[in-house]
Amino acid sequence: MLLFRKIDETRWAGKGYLESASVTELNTTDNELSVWMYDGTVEEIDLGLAFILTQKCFKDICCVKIPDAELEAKNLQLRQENSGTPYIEMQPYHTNIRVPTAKELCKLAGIIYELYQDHQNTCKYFTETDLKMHFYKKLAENKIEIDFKSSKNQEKWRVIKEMQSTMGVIDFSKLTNVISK
Amino acid sequence: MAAKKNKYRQYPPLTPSQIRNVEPKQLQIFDISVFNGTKPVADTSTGIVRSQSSFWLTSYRKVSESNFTYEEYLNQKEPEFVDLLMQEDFSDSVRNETTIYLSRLRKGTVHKNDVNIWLEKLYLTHQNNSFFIMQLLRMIRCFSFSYFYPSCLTLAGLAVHHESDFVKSEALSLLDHWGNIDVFRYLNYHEPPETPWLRHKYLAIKDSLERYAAIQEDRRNTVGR
Repeated sequence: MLLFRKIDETRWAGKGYLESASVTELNTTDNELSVWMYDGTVEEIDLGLAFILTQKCFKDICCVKIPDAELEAKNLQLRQENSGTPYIEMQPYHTNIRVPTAKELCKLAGIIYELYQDHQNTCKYFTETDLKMHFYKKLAENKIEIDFKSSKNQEKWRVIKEMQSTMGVIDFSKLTNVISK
Repeated sequence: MAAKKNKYRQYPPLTPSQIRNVEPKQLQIFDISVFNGTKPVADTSTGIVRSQSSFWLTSYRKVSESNFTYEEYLNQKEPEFVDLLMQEDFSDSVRNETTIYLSRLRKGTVHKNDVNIWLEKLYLTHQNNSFFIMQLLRMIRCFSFSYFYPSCLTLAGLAVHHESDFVKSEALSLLDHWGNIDVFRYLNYHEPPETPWLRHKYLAIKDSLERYAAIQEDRRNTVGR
C-alpha cells in the first residue's frame, strides 16, 4: 500500500538531507500527519480530489507516494481516522502517521527526502485542470455530498459553473447529495 | 457612520459655485470607496472617472497641477500597493485587502489598460525580488483571466522564464489555474523548463490541458451535430 502525502515542492527541491525548510514543511495536527491510502482499488486522482475538497480553493498539488513498508521499517505507526471530505466513498481512505516527537518527524522527513530524489517515479502531480474535471465528473455521478449554498463552498460552485460551460450542464434535480444554488 | 462623518468634516462638501469653478483636470480621486452608485462621468483627457454630483466631489482632493494623469496617480499609489501586496496572505481567499484595493484603482479609470500597463511596469521594476513577483502572480490568480487580459498572460509568460525556480513554479500553477486554449497555445510554443521537478510539473500541466482541450473539442462536435 502507498500513502499519499501532499508536499510543497519548493521546500524539498534542491534541499539537503533534513534541511529545516523541508522538515518544517511537515505540519502536524495533534502530533499526527494526514495522509491518504492508495491500495489500487481507486484511481490516484480520487485521492487528490478527496484532499482538495477539504480545502477552500482548488489548486494544483504534488503528492509523494510513501510505501507503508518504509514506515514499518522505521517503526512509524498509523492511526486510522476517516476524513471529513465531501467525496463520500473516499472518507475511509484517510489515515494519520503518528509523530509524537521530533525524532519521528525527522525519520519521516528522511524517508520523504530519499523518495523525493527520484521524484519522477515517487511523486504524483495533480493539476488543477485534472482536479476540476474529476470534480465535475464525480459530482455528476452523485458521489459528492455538498451544499453549494454554504459560504465556504462558493469557490467550488464557481468551478462547477466554469466546468458546466465547457463540459455540459448538470441536472442537479437528480443529485440527492447536492444542495444546488 | 461616525467614521464617514469625520471624513466629510475633513473634506467639506463644495458649494454649487465652487463646483462650477473646479476644472476636470484639477480633480483627483481621493477615496474611491465612497462610490455610491452615482453614474460616474469619464474624463478622457486625464483618464480619471469623476462624478457630477456634489457627493462625489467631496471625496476628491483639489490638486494644483493641471495635467495630472491617471498614470501619475497610479505611480503615486505604488508604495502603498507594494506594501499591501508584500504583506498579503493569498492562501485562503480570493477577496482580500490587496485585490479590493486594485479593483478600486481599476474602477477609477476609463482606460482599463492603464492598470495593466502599471502592473507590467511593477513587474519590471521589482523583477529582482522573487517574493514580490510570486505575490504579484498570486494576486493575479484572484481575478478572472479576462480581467487583466492580455497583461496577465504576458506576466505569467515572463515569470515562467524568471531566474528563480520558485517563481517559475508559481507561474506554471497560474497557467494551470486558467487552463484555457490561450495557455495551451502558449505552452505548445515554449520549451519546458530545464530543472527536472519543474519539467515534471510543466509536462503534467501540458498533458492535462491537452486532454481538456480534446474533451472540449469532442463536446463541440457532439453539440454541433
